[in-house]
Amino acid sequence: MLRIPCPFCGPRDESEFAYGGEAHIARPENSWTLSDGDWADYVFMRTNPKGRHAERWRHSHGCGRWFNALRDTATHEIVATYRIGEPTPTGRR
Amino acid sequence: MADGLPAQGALAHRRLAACAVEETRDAGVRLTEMPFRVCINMRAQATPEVRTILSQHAGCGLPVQPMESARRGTLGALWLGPEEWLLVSGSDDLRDRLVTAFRGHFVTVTDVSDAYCIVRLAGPAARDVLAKGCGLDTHDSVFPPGKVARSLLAKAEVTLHRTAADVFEIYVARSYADYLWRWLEDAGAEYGVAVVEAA
Repeated sequence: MLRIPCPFCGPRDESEFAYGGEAHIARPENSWTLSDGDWADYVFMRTNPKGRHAERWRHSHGCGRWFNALRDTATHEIVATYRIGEPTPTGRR
Repeated sequence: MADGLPAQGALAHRRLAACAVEETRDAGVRLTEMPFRVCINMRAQATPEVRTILSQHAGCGLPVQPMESARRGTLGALWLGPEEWLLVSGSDDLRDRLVTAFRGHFVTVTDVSDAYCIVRLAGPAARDVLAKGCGLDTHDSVFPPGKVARSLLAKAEVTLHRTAADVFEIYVARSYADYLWRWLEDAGAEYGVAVVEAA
């Protein structure tokens, strides 16, 4: 069981949270001008790193808020959590 | 409430009054189904204006710190999330009063009273029982009386409100009430469980 520090509620059990995929993926502006390939890139292509990964989580059985977490995909260490709109703590994706 | 249906608690079928005891000296935990309360889910930005209106019309402040609650008389305001609260009251007209008071403001008030069953878990072993099914740290240093949290208890989503040192009020969806009550009886068995009627 991971303990994930919700930026609002503090550390809680992983079972209170829902995973929301990679963070910081902006919807392209003027999406109607995109080629199918570019649209597929936006919808499907993810970085899938081994190591630190910025991702979205939702505290669904707690305060209900979305937030971002920086998690190491190899060790499961939650390096940091931060509110939506705040920069990634390490300054890198 | 649909016309013609009798209003009854989610645990009425368990006939708790018949099992209730007066003497609880040997019980590690005391379980009570609390009487009906009006529960209002309120969502708003806690601007000074909104907080003033609420305290004028409902007589209660709005806690803005996570996991805090406020109480004034029979009205309680429980923090559920940023910009979300559960207002709990004994007075039936709370929703109407809030709707009137917040007219023209970007605030939602939703009557969720019938969605919940409220179980009070009290006694010296209350925290031990909770620890069996909930990952929340209920130590005095982080979760003293007055604190409130939504969490999972035995996999059921609950709103946990610590109202006194050894008293927790558990708001649970009424469809989970029977399950949770039985889980609490089972989890509390080793400490001794007494069913107590609400005062």
